[in-house]
Amino acid sequence: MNDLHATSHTISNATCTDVEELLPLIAEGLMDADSDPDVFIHLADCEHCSQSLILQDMITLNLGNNINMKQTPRENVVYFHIPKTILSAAAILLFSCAALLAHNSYNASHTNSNQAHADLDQIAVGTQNVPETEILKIIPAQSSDDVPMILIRHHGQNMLIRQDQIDSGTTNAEVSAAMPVVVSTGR
Amino acid sequence: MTSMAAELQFTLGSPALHEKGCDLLAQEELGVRRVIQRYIKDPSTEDDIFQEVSIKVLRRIDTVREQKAIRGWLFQIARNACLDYLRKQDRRPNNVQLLGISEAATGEHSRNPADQFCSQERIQAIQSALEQLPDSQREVIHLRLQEGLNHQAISERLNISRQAVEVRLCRGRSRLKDRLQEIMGGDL
Repeated sequence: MNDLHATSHTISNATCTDVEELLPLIAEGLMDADSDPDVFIHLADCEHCSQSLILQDMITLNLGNNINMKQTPRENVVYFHIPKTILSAAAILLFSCAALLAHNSYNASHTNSNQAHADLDQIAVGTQNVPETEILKIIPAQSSDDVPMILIRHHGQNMLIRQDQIDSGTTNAEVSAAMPVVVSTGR
Repeated sequence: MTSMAAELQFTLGSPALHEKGCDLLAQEELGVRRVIQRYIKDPSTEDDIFQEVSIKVLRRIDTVREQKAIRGWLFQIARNACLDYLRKQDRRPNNVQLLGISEAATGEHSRNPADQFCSQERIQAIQSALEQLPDSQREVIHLRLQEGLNHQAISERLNISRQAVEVRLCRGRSRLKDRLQEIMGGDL
């Protein structure tokens, strides 16, 4: 017998101490019965260690499926984390470029670009009105009939907001009311 | 001949292997069912999963290299079958309408085995434990388990080595498990 928790017919060379340390690796799928037969024999025979592994599996399944609930199927999203000061500067620059490009194709919608820029600034500096919001990406308009979209992360959820829907002093409630849509970027 | 026996006979070419597999399953059935029962509380689902495990065992019995490793191999197959089943279940505890329909239809709380393994109470316990992790570990666990990134992608995202990712993941998981154990006690 190799450990107090194991049953009498255990033939594994692994102890509970050994297996306990390896549980995260097993839960991550980095070990299997072919590569480490002693560990899995021990798990088959040891109630204590198999219960510990169940806890790890519970963590994996619950975190993966439930805690970070999205209301639409998961898609590939361009998502990156940048400090807010750099992010706000980059957002302003990108938006300015997008507005400038759009100016060559649009007519009347351009009169709102400055206001939208200022509104975006409100969110980007992040902001007294929407402190839990982080801008992830500015998606320029794809055609003359389209408007720029802004991908934000709000309270742990990715959302798309139309640029023309942004008002000065956007509140949490207004951001939350935006469609929590995740758009595939083709990556 | 039962349908399962017919399927197995169609699947397996060698009667000797078939017999070896059947003997093994008969010998280890209690142990395999014990593993399944830890994940699945519903008896009829347990039977379905045991049947699935049996088919896998009978198909792959010739791949086992060491006789002594068979019990560990069986454990792995049973555990993987349970995890696959639980992952396939569409569980949305935030979807009130779905739960409402389920309750109205059955007149009681859902008996979905997946809901029992991933109950709201456990979700809250895990969330609570997650919040107590150091930022570095919580971040890696978030990217791995909630964003679904692999270790390499996480290392590139955070600009750290892959080994560092795995160390943080292991430490974070260990802490989560210990904390979860404290919160839930023996109630698994």
